[in-house]
Amino acid sequence: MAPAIILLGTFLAAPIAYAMYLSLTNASLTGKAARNPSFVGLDNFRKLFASDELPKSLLLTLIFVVGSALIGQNLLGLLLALLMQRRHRIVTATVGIVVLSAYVFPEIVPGFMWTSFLSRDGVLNQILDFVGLPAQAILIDQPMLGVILADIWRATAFSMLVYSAALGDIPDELVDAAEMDGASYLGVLWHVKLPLLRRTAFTNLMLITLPTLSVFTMIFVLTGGGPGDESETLPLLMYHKAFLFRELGYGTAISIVLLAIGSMFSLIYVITLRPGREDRA
Amino acid sequence: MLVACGDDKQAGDDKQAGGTEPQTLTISFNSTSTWPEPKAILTEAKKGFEAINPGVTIELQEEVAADDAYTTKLELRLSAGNDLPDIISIVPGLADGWAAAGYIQPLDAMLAEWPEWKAAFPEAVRAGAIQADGKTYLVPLAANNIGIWYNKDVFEGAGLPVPWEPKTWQDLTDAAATIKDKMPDAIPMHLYAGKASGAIDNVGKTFLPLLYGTDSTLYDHSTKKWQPAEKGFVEAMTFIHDSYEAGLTAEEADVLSPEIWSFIGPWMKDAELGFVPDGNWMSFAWVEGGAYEWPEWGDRLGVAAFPTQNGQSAGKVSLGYKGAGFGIVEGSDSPNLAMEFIKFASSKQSSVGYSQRTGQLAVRSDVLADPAYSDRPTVAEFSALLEYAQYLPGTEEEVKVWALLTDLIEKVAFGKITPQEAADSWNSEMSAAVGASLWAG
Repeated sequence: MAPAIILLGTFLAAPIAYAMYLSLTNASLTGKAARNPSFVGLDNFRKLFASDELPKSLLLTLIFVVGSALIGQNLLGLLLALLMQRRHRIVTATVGIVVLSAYVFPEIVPGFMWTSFLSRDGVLNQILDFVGLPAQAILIDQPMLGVILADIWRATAFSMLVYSAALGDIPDELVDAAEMDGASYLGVLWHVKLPLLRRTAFTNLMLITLPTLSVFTMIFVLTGGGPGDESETLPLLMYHKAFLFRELGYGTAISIVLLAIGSMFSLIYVITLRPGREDRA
Repeated sequence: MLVACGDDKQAGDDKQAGGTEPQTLTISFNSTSTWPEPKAILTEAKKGFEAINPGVTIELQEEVAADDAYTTKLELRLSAGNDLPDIISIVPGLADGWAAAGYIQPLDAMLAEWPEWKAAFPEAVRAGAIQADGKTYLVPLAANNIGIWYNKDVFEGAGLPVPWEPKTWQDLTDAAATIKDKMPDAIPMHLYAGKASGAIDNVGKTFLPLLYGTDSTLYDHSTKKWQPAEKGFVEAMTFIHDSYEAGLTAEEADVLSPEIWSFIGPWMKDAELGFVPDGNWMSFAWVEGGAYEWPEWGDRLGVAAFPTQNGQSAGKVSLGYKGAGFGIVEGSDSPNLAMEFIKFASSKQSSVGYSQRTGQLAVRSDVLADPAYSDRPTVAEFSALLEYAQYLPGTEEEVKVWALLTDLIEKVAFGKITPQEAADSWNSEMSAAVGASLWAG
């Protein structure tokens, strides 16, 4: 136990404690406050909660998490897992490799790929041009849509794997029994498979919500948080305040808020997943 | 403490550079694909310095990164305090903050022992290099200001007078409208508005020349306070908004690109742009060895002064930006050797090459007197604008001012907020950004 606690302490607890300490100071990257940061108590938090940018950033973060994780990755992962059930090994292998590759690359690679896809002279506009439709500037007109699509593309693999495993665990007898009773594919899906996947779904949501909450590189590469602040989720806001405004103290206060939101989500999931709340199918 | 390299007296070296200090220097700087400096000047200086001082090794640590990203990384490195470079390139706007943070060391003692400092650098330049704490941290390589570059082919094609001398903001709008009408393939005017390419662009080249052409200023040097937004602020923002709304400017995707400043080179060369308020250094693209080499640039391009709003006051506005220079990191274990290198890199020969490659204006009096420098195209025009140049103080809180403004300008240009809302934002956020003691609002 002791080595694990030491590791957790050093690599998780210590940075968090340091961030909490920094958020109570006026630490900065340049100027007097860089050499001698002074304690300012909860000033950073007061300023943050009174600011105009926090509500907007919170809303954008919520949209991003709901759009990418709760809806996008979750449903697409489930869909892919269902489609791949009982398919030929070559098909599952190919699809698996493609989807997994997107997941395994560092965020910056899909970031650049999607930038080139969505940019003015990019592949999307070339296709639209070929088909005779007007060109789109998604990264400028609908930046949240652009980053959500890119993130879904990148991260769906995880959900797909989780649901594949869970679907594989469903006993064939249950499915066969339902089919013999006259249920269609959708009937089987709705009445047999999905109820059995409920616990998996919650686990999956918990596991993908937190990483999606902290997505930075993808959005930074695609839109930089812009245009203006149209796609400035909390991680982007944190970066802008800490590094562009050089206010490390204020930036870490934002990171503490992000930590609190993540903890809240985790708490919801942990409570929901407590034993004894599971429906028996 | 100084490492005991004192026994390394090289043959033929009476006074070994830097005395008993370690004979290696590391110099950190950034480079991008189109801007040649400080890579070129450092590479040449390294060759020359190592040739004269055998036994000295200079390591150039090049980071391929845009200015903003590189600065952030450098500040993190300097604040971490280990594995520091000896020499860095310092932009005057950042010097105050870095000095207060203890990242760089004052050069006053070493400059006092350098006769060339008094002899070749005019009093105004030496005074301009003194930071808010009264000390000098860098040796300036150049000075810069803002004028309006215009393409004579586009102007002649649109039937506009050449040479062009706009007297009011309306003249700018009229010229752009005429170009839009008569030369539809050209961008009438480019007003920097995006924030991705850095604050020097939309704040320094577009907004400030407009603002200082009204009766308002951004900073009062006598009271040392930042000024609240009044009529002039709103009118400057309105000009930007109206110009964008009237379609007199470049495409949104280009304007928002972090590389927008590098498009001016090809646009002007291909006569695809009418005019742009920009810095004297933009000639870096067209000079020999530049990214868009164009031998006729001096003939086909003209430089006009940015006009005041209604032709009032002096009639002309320019913003002065002191050029970067080299400075020594605090904690370097070879400060004297580093100073020797900096002197070498700031010498007359080195400075002339620097000005030629970058289009920046020289500050050394011996370079100013050298026809190889002063006869080059646009040097005379931009040097004449120095008389009208306004300066911002370059104090430590200024980075926040720029961060705030650059955001507001982008939003106004693309209609996300109104000019009045931008002014209101400025008035409500500046006190917190710079502190109540530096705010006149």
